[in-house]
Amino acid sequence: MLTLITIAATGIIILYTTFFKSRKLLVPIAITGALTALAFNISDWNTNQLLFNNMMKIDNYSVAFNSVMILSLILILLLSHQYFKGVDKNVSEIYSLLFFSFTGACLLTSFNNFTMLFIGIETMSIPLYVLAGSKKFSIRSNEASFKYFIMGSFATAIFLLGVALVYGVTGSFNMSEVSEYISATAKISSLMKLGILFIVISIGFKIAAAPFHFWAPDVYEGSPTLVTTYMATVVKVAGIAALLRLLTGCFIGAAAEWQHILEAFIILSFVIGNFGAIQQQSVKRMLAYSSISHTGFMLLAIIAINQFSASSLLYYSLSYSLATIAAFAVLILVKNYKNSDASYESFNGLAKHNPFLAFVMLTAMLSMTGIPITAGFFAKYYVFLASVKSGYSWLVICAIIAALVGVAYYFRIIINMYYKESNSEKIIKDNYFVISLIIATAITLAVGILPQFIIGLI
Amino acid sequence: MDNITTAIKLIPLEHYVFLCFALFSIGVFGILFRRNTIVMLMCIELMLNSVNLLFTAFSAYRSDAAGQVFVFFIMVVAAVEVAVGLSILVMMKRNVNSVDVNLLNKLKN
Amino acid sequence: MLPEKIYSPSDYIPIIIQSSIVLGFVITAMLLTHLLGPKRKTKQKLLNFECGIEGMGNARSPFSVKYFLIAILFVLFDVEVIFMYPWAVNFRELNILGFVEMLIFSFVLLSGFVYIILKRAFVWEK
Repeated sequence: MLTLITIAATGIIILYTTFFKSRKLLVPIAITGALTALAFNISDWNTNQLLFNNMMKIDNYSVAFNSVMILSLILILLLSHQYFKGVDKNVSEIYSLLFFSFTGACLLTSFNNFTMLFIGIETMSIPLYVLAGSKKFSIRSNEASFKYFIMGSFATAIFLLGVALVYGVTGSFNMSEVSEYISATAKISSLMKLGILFIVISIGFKIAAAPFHFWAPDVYEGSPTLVTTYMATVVKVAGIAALLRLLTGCFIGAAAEWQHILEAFIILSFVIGNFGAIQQQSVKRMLAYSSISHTGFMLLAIIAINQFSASSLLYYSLSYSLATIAAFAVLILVKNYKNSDASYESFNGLAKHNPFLAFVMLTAMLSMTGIPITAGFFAKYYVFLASVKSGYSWLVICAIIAALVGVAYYFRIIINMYYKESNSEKIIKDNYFVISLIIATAITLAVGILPQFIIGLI
Repeated sequence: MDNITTAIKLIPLEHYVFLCFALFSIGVFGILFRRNTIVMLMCIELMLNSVNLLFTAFSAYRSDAAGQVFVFFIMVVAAVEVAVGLSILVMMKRNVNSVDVNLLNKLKN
Repeated sequence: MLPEKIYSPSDYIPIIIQSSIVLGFVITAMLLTHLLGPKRKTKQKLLNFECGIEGMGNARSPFSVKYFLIAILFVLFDVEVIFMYPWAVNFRELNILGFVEMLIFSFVLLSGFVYIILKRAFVWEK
């Protein structure tokens, strides 16, 4: 609970720094808040608490996922200092909106009641609609914001319809009571099935799982890159964590109903994510499509629904978040420097004058592909292991093919960086940026070499 | 208070469900086929409010206040969504001088 | 406590009569003035009257965004009141804890309000 309060309070404090004209203090305050929240969060480890009349449940699952998300948030905050250098108006509002949105993300990992799930989704999404449009005078940003808003509200409405149907059948919003009802009834009523379908589809919207992904490439491309980083990491991890928590804690008795939906999600995410990514000329759009494909891998852990699901999903979330943040960070620098649309060509010859940036990008791309000694390899390995244990070998074969297709577009960047010539120069980056990149790369490698630290946690 | 619940229960539950689904579908079709963004915003409101109706009906039939409290949360969230949505529209109107959704086609590959 | 009384639909007949009289009066009065009044349409009479100046431009010009801002802020802060209804109903059971929680809620809400004031959103002429 203290984690949540700290995050929300930091948001309010940052909101008020706008009146003190203290731009230099912004990032330190934000990072202090996030670190305090991380400390409170870790202190909740192994204390299973039920809070607010069973509305929230803090257990190791929520603590672990919160930690991953706070780590991502800190890395993003470190990147933000350089990113917002040129912006002189309303910067503190952007930070506080990030924190408000993060409050919702924390709720999503620790809810025990549909009310909390709903509030979490909305608290997370509504600031993001604003953040996506935070480049006020850019038409592309406006368009991204509007598309995200319409799709997000649409998903919310569908989610609410699902919750209403589940409530109508069971008469309760509490997860354990709904779960008891499902296991007590022999035949699940069609209204209940419809409710589960709507809820799963709406969360599929939020995490951009195909066939409900169509907003994602446009929104990811149009939003400011830093916001895109946040959307691709924290929001996606929170959504996936909420889905697993919901399905294990609530709808596990009706597994046969939603596993078919997830099968469709996974296959379509692989197909659309990979083939979309191959066709792209812009790296930002490629990363958007590849994040759809990564959603497929993460859903693979959920569909398995056994004792390995949570830990493999945690590991995958960590490796995916770190690699995505590193990739977007390098993209921000390259894009700013070249002042271009971030095509593959702008990465040409990066290794010659900026070996550090090229190395960071190399690790990120290898991790996303799933090459050993980076975290991505064991992430995919454990996810595959979990789903094979539940008898989804055919899905794993599809996933391996998808991972192989991924090599095509991830290695294109690596080849451009190391084997193509260009008259590029040294790109200037500030200290915060370097720290963030070093942390992301170091953890990617460390976790890739010693996976048992994470995998044994939950 | 009991009178309201009994009055709600005079109408069979199925009618509420059908009405709610009809309203919800109108909202969905509005979002899919209307090109005016303000009308799309209204359709989202319509969808949320049809769900509100369903919640209150279920709540009355089950004599359980939780459903009605959920409605409060939906109402607040709907208000916030309208505020954010209208602000986005104003921003859009300033930049492209129109609220037609067809003008939003800058992000294509 | 007042004794409980079950109302049947027939008890509402006076209301129907009342509303039909009201509606009927308004409609007949408006129709009569429209039909009976003399009409002399000249060009001068059909012109918009703007203090003797000839009308120009379109009436549908965009208005100041300040109206919009204040309306939106009103909607936002107005709606939060609904959380007070269930709290007020259960005020006795919730006791001092509920009161403190409502104070915290109001404080968070007020912090947003103070932010708006400090941001000069209500200052009409900047």
